[in-house]
Amino acid sequence: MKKAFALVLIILAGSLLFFLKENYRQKNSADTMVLNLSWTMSLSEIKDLNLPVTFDFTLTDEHQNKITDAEIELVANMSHPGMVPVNAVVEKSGQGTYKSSFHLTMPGDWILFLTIRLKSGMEIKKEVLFKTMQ
Amino acid sequence: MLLKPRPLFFFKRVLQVSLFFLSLYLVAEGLWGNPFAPANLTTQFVWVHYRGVLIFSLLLLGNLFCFACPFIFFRDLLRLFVAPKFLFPQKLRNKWTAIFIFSLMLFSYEAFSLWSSPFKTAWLIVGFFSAALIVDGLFKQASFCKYICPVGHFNFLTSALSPSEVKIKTEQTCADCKTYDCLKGNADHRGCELNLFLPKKAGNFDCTFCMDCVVACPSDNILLARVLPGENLERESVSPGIGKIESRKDFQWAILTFFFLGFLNAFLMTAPAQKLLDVWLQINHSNLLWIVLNFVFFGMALPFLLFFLPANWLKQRPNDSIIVLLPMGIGLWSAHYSFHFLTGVLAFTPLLGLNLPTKWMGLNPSQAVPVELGLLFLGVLFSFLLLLKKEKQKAMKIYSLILFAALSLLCAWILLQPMQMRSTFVGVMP
Repeated sequence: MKKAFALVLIILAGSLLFFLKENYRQKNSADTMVLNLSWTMSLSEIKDLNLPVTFDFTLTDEHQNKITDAEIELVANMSHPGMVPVNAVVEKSGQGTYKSSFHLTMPGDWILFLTIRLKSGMEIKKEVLFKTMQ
Repeated sequence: MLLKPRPLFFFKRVLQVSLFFLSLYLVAEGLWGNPFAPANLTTQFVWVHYRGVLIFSLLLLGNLFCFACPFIFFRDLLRLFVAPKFLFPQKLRNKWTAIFIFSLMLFSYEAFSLWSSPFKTAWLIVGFFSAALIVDGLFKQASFCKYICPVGHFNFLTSALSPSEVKIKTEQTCADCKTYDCLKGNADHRGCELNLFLPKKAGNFDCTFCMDCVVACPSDNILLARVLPGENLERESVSPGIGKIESRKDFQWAILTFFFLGFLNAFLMTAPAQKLLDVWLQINHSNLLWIVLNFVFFGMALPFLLFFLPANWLKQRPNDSIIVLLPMGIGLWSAHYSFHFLTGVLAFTPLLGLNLPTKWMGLNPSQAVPVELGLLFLGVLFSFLLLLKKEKQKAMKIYSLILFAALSLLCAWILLQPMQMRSTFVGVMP
């Protein structure tokens, strides 16, 4: 009885792993569109955390056409997990250029998580890495 | 008594099964999910929530995580099919291997930035499952728990301040016992796999709260009881299966490693440590060598210079002073882990699609400082009181009081430093 129960659990565990792997594979293969993101930080050295960081960027598609009508979510987070993320508002400023401004909460390594929603309904995620200067 | 034996054992199985499946999910999320640590539940749960809940449960309840260990649950499943044949090698029946693996785990954490990689974190979980299976698949009893597991040893040491302990109810019942089921087991239940003989057991060292003894005892004479935290550190105790802790060099080094590597682990997160690293990188470009040197200095040289060398000069023994350093170490670890836990307790919610206001996700780092200092202060206070009571050698007592005061101030200084999350992507700049 105990052995049968153990076998069922082991098979269940294996099946769960297989199911999860397939699920992640499908999820990861969804974002296939080529999107170019060219960007500049307004501050070349982020020294003072009291000053806002402005992050301006331009979006182009695979044919180098400017993407002017995307809806964008921007979340800044640290490389260390468990830090409270910083949500930033992204504004369109024409010609495929977008602007955002936010305050960092701590010095160190940061990641900007961009969720870009195109008018066609397609959603693309991009990450931008940067670090503050000491 | 906190719970009756049977419901307690059932509760343990429910927790083990839950944590087993949660571990599987975290392995999958780490291997195949988002590769960025803050956007991945594996790194969030393992490096923030697990460590935070672990330390608070140890201090408020007891060794709940060994009690609910998923690695041992999986090992138990496989032991139904394959029984181990060998006894753990005599020469390795001590804490040296566990100290080495504990140090190696902390070293890997620093050297390979485990906190910033869901992939590596997932493999760490797989590594724990594999190690438990291999060691306990080969060797009888709970060899992995008693001699190898770094997390288990962290729990054993921290549970010195836990408010609960597995104990006997009445001495007379044990005196009349002829079968010793709590140790040897019986046809239905196994006995203590860590060789702790309950009538003589003192404190929580080496006790995984597995409750095997509780259900094996035919007289229902063992219970999970409330105790005064740290009461067993106060007196010299000889525990069966362990011996006299004060005289065991491996236990002394386990406590020194626990304290000094805890100190290093917290220090490396601060801005001054980053500045030191920058200075080092101008002299030598090897980040790895810097971490090796830090570990050699904090893990070996400093304990020797601060405890064994002065004791030698004073012609006294450092044993008791080392044992009573443990609460300060627990204070420091709990301060460090509580910082991560409190500042990011709900930081995982956006990953689940929940949009909570930012201020609900965790405390501002500056708001966590009083909690950190409070936890450290409690540990320091415990250490000082124990030192005054336990250390009988006058010269060593005076020296240790000065040393403990200096160490406490250094720990507080670390907690007051601005945090700076360590360089994970050196070279990637705007």
